[in-house]
Amino acid sequence: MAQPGKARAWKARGGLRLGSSNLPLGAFYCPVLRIKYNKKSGLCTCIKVNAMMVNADIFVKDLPGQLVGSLEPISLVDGNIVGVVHNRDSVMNGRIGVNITFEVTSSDALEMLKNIWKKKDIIISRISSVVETFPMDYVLIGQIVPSQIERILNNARKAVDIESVDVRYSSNASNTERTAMISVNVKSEESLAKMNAFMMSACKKANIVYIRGVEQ
Amino acid sequence: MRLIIAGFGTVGQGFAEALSKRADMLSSSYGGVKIVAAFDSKSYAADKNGLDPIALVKRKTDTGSVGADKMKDGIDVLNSVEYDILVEASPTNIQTGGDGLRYIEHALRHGKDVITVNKGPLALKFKELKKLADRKKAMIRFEGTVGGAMPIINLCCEDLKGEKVRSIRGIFNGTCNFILGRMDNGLPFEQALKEAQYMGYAESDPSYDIEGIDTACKVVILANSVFKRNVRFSDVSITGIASVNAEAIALAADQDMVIRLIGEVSDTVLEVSPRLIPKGHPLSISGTLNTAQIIADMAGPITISGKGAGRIETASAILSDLIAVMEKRR
Repeated sequence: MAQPGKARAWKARGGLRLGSSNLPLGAFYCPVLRIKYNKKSGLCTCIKVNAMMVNADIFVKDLPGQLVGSLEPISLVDGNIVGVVHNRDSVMNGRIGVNITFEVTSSDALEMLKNIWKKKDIIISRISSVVETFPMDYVLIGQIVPSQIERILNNARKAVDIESVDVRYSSNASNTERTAMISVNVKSEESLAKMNAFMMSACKKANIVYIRGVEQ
Repeated sequence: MRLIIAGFGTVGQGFAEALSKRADMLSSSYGGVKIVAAFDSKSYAADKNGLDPIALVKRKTDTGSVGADKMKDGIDVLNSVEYDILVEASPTNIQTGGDGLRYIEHALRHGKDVITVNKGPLALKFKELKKLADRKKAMIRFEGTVGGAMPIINLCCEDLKGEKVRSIRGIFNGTCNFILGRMDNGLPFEQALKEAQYMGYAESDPSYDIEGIDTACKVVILANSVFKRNVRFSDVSITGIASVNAEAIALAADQDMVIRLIGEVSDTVLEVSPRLIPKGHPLSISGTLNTAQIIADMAGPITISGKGAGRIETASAILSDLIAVMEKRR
């Protein structure tokens, strides 16, 4: 199965020709890749798309082939395995504990996987998911009114894929100047770059001083 | 090696002292270095057999002039004395490049190696000076222009030669960092600035520092030298720290962050602006230190820190450039 790191490398090279022998077949089943096909050039570009990172503790029967049997369904739901720890010390009723970290594209895919595991008599003892987001903070200084910030953020939402927003205002507002801090979480690095550009331009137009954080 | 020191202010004097301190090492390893001329804005001293560096510093301290002979233009000194290396430490002029630019161009045109700590000429005419040096098979080195004693240019261009440096972010102005650090402790901007002036960190006209001009010059030098870009001072997006208020500092602190003036450069970015930095991040330091985070493709992040200004600290950077030149000219 293709790894996310490889996907980025392909993207950096500007894509791969369809049918080329150096394109691993598994790449098409990897959820963190979206294949963008350019009809004109005949090139397809692999792009990393949003994925839900999941960590799960499961128990499988201590029989040959059971571990592989528990991993195969992840591929069936277009998932991407990031790591597997086969914990032979963790034994329960003749079953062995396995900790798996994987990516799936949606909660529907995760539900589908859970159903397959249940059908295969695999016990799920814990499952947790995290959606990867990219945080950024902005401090705005100037003649700011909350409705103006709201307007800016509404426009930002139209342009950028924002996961969450938090706004705080300084308690010590004078008649002429107010300070606000906006914390956002966006869904991708590309969205983060867009958000930075949007905020810079919006603040410049509104004559507001804008201080942003640093990308981690 | 025969040197001329152009500009005998704080840095020029510090360098003369450093030469005196390292005289034995320079003599045993490189056959010695002698100052054949030194000049400031009004006077000059010259001796083809070499001048005593400590006597030059003493004379400057006592009389305000480096030499007894009056001088109209430093170019006359450059024309009248035989030398190998020009050490250029005259005051920065970001509008025209000032006399420093003329001295550097003159020396390079005559095939002389140049070591400069003057940001103005490099922020305005980096490519032209580099081309001129290459054409005349001369060297131009400028480690002291960015970060004082913090070895960033030579680190990136020589020690990290095999790396692709992706970006450099750093605190390149100790005055601004001192002010912002004091604001973290609750001082308003004006009071923090006054304190910086009282301590001698800020000039009576602090605009060069607080408007981000000084940092922008350094960002241009890094962009041209490390990233091989062809940019000028006017290409930098600059926001100073004058608009940072106590409320902004408090809001940042509430989120475990501080505000620092950051210069950032990469293949596409050329920016100086106040930024929110998480506490504990390498760029969250307080005080007058400079610090830089270099992101390299194989080595990953490399953080360096050091004194960004000062008499002997900047002289240390000139000395490292001098030794590099002498190594190559051996």
